[in-house]
Order: sequence, then C-alpha cells, then structure tokens
Amino acid sequence: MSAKNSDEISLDKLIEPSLLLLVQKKPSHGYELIQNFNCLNPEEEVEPGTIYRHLRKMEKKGFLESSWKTSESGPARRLYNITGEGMKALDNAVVKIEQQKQELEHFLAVYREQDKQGGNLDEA
Amino acid sequence: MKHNPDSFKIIHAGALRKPVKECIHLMMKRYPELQVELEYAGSRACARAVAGGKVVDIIALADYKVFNEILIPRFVDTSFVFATDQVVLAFDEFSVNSDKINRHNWMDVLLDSNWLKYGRSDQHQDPCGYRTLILWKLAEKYYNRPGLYDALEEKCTDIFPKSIDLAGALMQGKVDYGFEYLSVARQMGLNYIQFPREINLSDPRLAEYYAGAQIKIEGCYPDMDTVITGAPIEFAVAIPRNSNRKELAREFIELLTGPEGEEILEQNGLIPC
Repeated sequence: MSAKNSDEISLDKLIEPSLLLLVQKKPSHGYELIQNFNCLNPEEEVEPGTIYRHLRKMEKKGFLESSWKTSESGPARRLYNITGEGMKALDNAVVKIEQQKQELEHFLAVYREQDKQGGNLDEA
Repeated sequence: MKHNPDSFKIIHAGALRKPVKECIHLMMKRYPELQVELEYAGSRACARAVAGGKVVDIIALADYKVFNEILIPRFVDTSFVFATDQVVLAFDEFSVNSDKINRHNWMDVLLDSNWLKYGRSDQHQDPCGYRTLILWKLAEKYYNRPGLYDALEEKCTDIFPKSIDLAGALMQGKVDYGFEYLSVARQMGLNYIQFPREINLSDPRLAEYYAGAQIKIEGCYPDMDTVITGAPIEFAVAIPRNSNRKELAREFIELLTGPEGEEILEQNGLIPC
C-alpha cells in the first residue's frame, strides 16, 4: 500500500498543477480560473464545482492563500495567490509529469515498433 | 413582532434559509447570550426592504447584481461572493409523469399534459424567478425549439414569491414540477433533473453565451423596467451601512466564508467559492 503524501498535489486530470500554474502566472479568483482552465486543458470538461473544491483543498494544504479582492464594478471575490509551498509542489509535480511523459513515450514507441512488425517483435 | 434593538439581525434570500440558520447556531455557541432575528424573502424584496430603511446587520442574497442595482453605494459598500449553484427541475415521486421525464424530454412532458402543473418563483422578487425565464430563453436556442419560451411561460400559472415557497408547494403536491436551485432541491429531498451546462447558469466559461438571453422585470421605480442579462449564478453577502453590530457582522461573514461555513454550504448543496 502506498502512503499518500499530503505535501503533494494530485495529478488527476492535471487539475491541481494547471490551477497552480495559472495562479503562478497571475493571482486570480475562482471564476477567472474556471474561465481560463480550458486554455491549458482544452479537452478536459471539468465541472466548476470541482475546480472550486480543488482550490479550497490546496489552500487548506498551504499551496495557495486567498484574500478578498474588490473589483471596480463588481463584487468582492476570493483572490488566490501561490505560496512558496505551492511553488515547490508545482516543481515536484512537473518532475512526475516528465516521468509520466517518458513512460508514455516509451510505451508508444514499443507499440509503434510492434505494430510495424505486424504485432510480434520476437518474429522480427 | 417587537424588535430588540440589540439583537443581531439578518435578512436573507429564502434559498439560504438552512445554511444561514446553521451558521447562526455556530455563532450562538460562541455567544450563548446572542439574540438573533432572522427574516427571509426573495432577494429583490430583501434589498428593497433595506433600501426602504430596514435596519439589519447582514444581508445575504442569491444574486450579487441585486446589490449593485438596488443597494450599492447608498446602503452597502461592497458585497462578497460566497457560493454558486445551478437551476434544476425539481419534482417528487408522485408528480404526474415523473416516471417518463428526463433531461431530453422535460419540455414536452411539461407542455403536453393538461393535468400536470409546474411552477417557478416571481421574477420581480426572486432571482430564481428571472433565472428560470433566462433558462427558458436559453433552452429555446439550445434545443432549437422556436416558441418554447412563450409556450412554457403561457402554461406556467403557479408563481411563488420565492424559491423556498415553490419547494414547499412541490412537497405538498400543489405543483408537480418546479424550477429550483439544486441546493434547495437537495435540502428538501426532492428528485430533480439537471439541465445541460449551456442552460443551467452554473458555468463561468459560458458567461458570454448566457448573456445572450435577457428579460425585463420591474425596476426600482414605477414604470422603469430593469433588464436582466443571463449570467452564472453567484450568491453574495454584505454588511449594510446602517448595521449596529458591524464587528459581529464581520465575524459572521468570516464564519460563512471560512472552513466551517464552507462545510455547511457544501452539506446544503451549494458550492462555496
């Protein structure tokens, strides 16, 4: 059984790394982050409620901090900023994503080679 | 009812009845001697009461735009967005044709039977009312059904002052179906159909699309209409300028928007934001 490290962010659907990356670029409120989320993940249909829940979860873990920000014409909304811990968590996530990318590339290379050989590498 | 000048006074949208009461219970644990007066109505009716001189310490509404239109800057400085929701079609197991209705045929089921009654809240008093009308306009476009808005409006004769009254009517069997907030449907244990996000007013990514639908409602002054533009649902809370207990009001907002309040909102089907 693998222990879940509470200092890590979830890589599921890249929701948490994407949110940290967006907030690192510019402190933002949830409404804005939902609007911008699909720029990074065009194919991913994530519910707004899911994004708000991940933001609160990452704030509880200390990766984000929030304060009320009043806009000129609108209401005050919770504005999220990335913390030092959040930066580290994002760096760690990127290392894991790189590893996953290499694993996926290796898998695809083997698959393509096998496909080229008619499905059986041993016969080559 | 006689008012205690020292009591902590809250006026709020009916849809927020349960979460506001639960937050007040937490406040009363901190301050056992606290006297509280809670009043609820449709959000526009709440705002008009405060604009008419009613003294309260907290006003919590189902649409931040009601603050902008009626209360800011004369009666309120700023509102704070704290939750989102979506509009659903609520019903119970005894509703006519409840075994046939689904997210694809809901409009036909509502319109086809002479025995079936459906309701909504009043667009002039309650955001759930104008959001329902906006949803019907968006549905006409989304399903490519010209005339759908007029047909739904013509047949809908059961109109209630606020969404919580509509939920009560559903539970009593006075209407078969009601256009409600998801949170209210869950709080009341009702069945519901979720609409596609293109029409349910839940998604900020579709803000521009929602804005393509508009309706007119009564404005703040006689013979002056207000145009309501479709937008994602956002609940907001504020401290009116005439509050006598501003320190306590700030503490209430911190509680509502903090971890304890977020848990209460989630349990009541709202999405804290």
